[in-house]
Amino acid sequence: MDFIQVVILTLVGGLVLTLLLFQYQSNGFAFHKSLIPSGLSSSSSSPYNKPTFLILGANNSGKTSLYYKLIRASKNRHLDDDEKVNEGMTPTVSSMELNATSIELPFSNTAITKNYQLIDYPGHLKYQELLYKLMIDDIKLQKIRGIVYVLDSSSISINSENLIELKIAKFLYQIFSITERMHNGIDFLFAVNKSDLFDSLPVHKLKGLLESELNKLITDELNSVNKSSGIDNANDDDKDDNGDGKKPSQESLREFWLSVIGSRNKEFTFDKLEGNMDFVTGSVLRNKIEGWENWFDEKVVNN
Amino acid sequence: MSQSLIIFRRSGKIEYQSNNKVSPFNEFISSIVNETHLALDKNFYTNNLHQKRFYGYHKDNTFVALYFDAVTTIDSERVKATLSGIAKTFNKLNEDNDDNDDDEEVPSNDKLKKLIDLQINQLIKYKQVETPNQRDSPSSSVNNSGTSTPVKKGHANRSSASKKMRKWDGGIMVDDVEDKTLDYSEIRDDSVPPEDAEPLEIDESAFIRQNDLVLVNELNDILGDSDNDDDYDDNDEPSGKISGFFGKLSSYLGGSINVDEVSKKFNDHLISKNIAPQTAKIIIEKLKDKLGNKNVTMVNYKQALTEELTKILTPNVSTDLLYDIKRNKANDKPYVISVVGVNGVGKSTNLAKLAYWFLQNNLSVLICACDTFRSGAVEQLKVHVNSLKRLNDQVSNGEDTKIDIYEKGYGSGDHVVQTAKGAIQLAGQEKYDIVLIDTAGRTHSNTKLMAPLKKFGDAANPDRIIMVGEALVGTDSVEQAINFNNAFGNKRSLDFFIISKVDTVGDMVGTMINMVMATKVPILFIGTGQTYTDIKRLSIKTVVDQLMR
Repeated sequence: MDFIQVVILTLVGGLVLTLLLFQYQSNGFAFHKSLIPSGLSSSSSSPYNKPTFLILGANNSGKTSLYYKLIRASKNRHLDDDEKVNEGMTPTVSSMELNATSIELPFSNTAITKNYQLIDYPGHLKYQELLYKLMIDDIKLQKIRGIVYVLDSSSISINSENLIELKIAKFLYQIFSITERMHNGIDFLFAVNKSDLFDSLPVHKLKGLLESELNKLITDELNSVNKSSGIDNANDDDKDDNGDGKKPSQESLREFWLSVIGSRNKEFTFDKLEGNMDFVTGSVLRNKIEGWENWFDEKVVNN
Repeated sequence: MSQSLIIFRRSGKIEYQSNNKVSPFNEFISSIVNETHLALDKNFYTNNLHQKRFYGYHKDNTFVALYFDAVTTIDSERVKATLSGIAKTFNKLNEDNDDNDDDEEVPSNDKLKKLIDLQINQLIKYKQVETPNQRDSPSSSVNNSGTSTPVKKGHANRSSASKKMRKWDGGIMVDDVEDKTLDYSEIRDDSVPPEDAEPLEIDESAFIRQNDLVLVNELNDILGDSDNDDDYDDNDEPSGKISGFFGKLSSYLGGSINVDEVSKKFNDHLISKNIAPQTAKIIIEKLKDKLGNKNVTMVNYKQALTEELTKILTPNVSTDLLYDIKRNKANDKPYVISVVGVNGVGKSTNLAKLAYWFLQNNLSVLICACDTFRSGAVEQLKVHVNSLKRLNDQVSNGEDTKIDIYEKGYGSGDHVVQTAKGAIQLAGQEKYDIVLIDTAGRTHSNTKLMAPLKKFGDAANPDRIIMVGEALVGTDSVEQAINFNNAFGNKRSLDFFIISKVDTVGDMVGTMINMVMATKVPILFIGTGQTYTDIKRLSIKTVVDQLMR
């Protein structure tokens, strides 16, 4: 008799449980729906949440080529010299989505390698908003070990359209306001690519150009804000919308830049940023990437 | 005629290239990313850039793109068939390659090259064969669809003096439309050999030398093999699907769910946010395409949708209006901005808000009253200008900014154009930085009212044309945006949107998606209230959050 009772009780219990679950799934949908965004924003489960090096840059500066180059360089270390895969270029066109892979660093020493994530992010303006999201929500700023910003140093690309200069400066202007939020900032490597071209600009010139462009943007920001005394300045909108403080970049852009350059009349230089800004020349095409590899190694070993 | 073909991945890695002319493709890819390309069919695009005609086709992660240097006369259907054939060939060989050892990579690359060359050659031969046939039956295959490219016709043999009719679509020359139907002058050419009448049935192998026969057979095997690929995509039930209750159950516990079911749910969700049904459908289709036909988790799907919406709203051009204006300051000519829109959306109000913003940024503004139609429009602007003047006097701290109105009363016909021209001239003389032109509101569906816009656009030649659209409007916003975008002729289009009355709709901000999706024109500002300060830069994140809520 006991045995049968147990069986019946189990069956009834199972039925009740099933009904409860059914109830939950038909009525509890709204509840469930509201659950997801919060789960999303915490997103510790994001596949990108790993120690990461980011490769950024404008279109056609050579990000993806560098990406494949670095992967190959990392793989080649294990091989003897005669086994090395031919050091050719991986031909590429504009990427439509990010490339991510795991890469063993440092390059110079195979004994202490650790795995890092290497992400190559396309330069299209259309994807920029998603980049910020990727950096802040998915990877998390603390996990970004360094950012490689690839620059096309050929003067043609820089002079032909002022837009490119503007685009780069504008992008850096935005990205610094994100990366500098970290204590000590995030280190940048400005990979001055295409130095093999005859019209390639020297590093100091490029650096000066960028500084002066950034300086213009910053002065504009600081001045315009003062004039409109925060009434209508569309530059620092959405304060109230972003009250959750998730994106402090917008609301405190002005204060941030003010704190960076010190006072309104001072000039912006890269030294004033907390992260280390290194400008290193090289050429993916000519396989001159030692300087960049050294930068990676330094970051890996020091961290 | 020269052409170049590449096979590449989304990641940007080129898997195969027919020659080293690769860089032109970058621009084509940009146009795919910015969605300025023309979608002829699902997964099949075309675009005209720098006298090159590009075709692109993709299946999952494999993209095949092709361009022709010269003006081509190839039927787009044929190109599609060829490109998809190449994609299949590539995938097939790739699979084989994975099975084998890496050592065999080289010979298989050779084979790939041969097979692809073969298909390209066939494509070009088709073109040559087709030509005589088209002359015999010109009207048989004229494509009536407005958006897709009509079948290209061979004009090679016709007298070069014959004029081609052109079809335009959003500023891009889509195609030479067959003008044969209109051209009654030419005597029918009977000298065409009869065997050319049915070129479709010509055995492909007839064109190929004997030693290529093996290749042809192999190619046919590959293409035949995967012919039913597409059907299989549609009909195949996901094998891992757990039926009914437990499937649903697992979805709530973070398990995978059927894409179709979720799609339906989110489709309704988007529509409830005031996104037009057809727009919502496009978005959902894109997502389905992206996620593939596999089971996804709810979280994944939501994430993908968020990304998609973000991508749609992110502008693909610089929206830094102030920078443009400041650069223009060196010029003698003022920077001309014109505002257009349907009646009552808030053109004048937003114009005044803009003027206020410019004044704050030390720029002098001349407002031009080109609404010479509705009674009281000029007076309304005068009120704005007067109060702005007062505000400017209060605030102005030593800076020499000024604002004024230029008006020539009411009138019709050329009056608008003359007023605009006069204002620009005056602004040049008196060193105004910006001319803001207010236009009369007009119903977008009334061609009589829309036609003068082109004339106005040509005459005033504004640096920026901004359309004001209201967030309140629903499905009609798509039509509005498209009609206004096309109203300025094929050389000019809208530059920005200002979406007004956003404060009145809560989180039903789907109108923004509608308008941006329909025209690929970015949103500059949003209007959020009655006072001069209630204009904001668009916060993409906020809008997307509202839509996903």
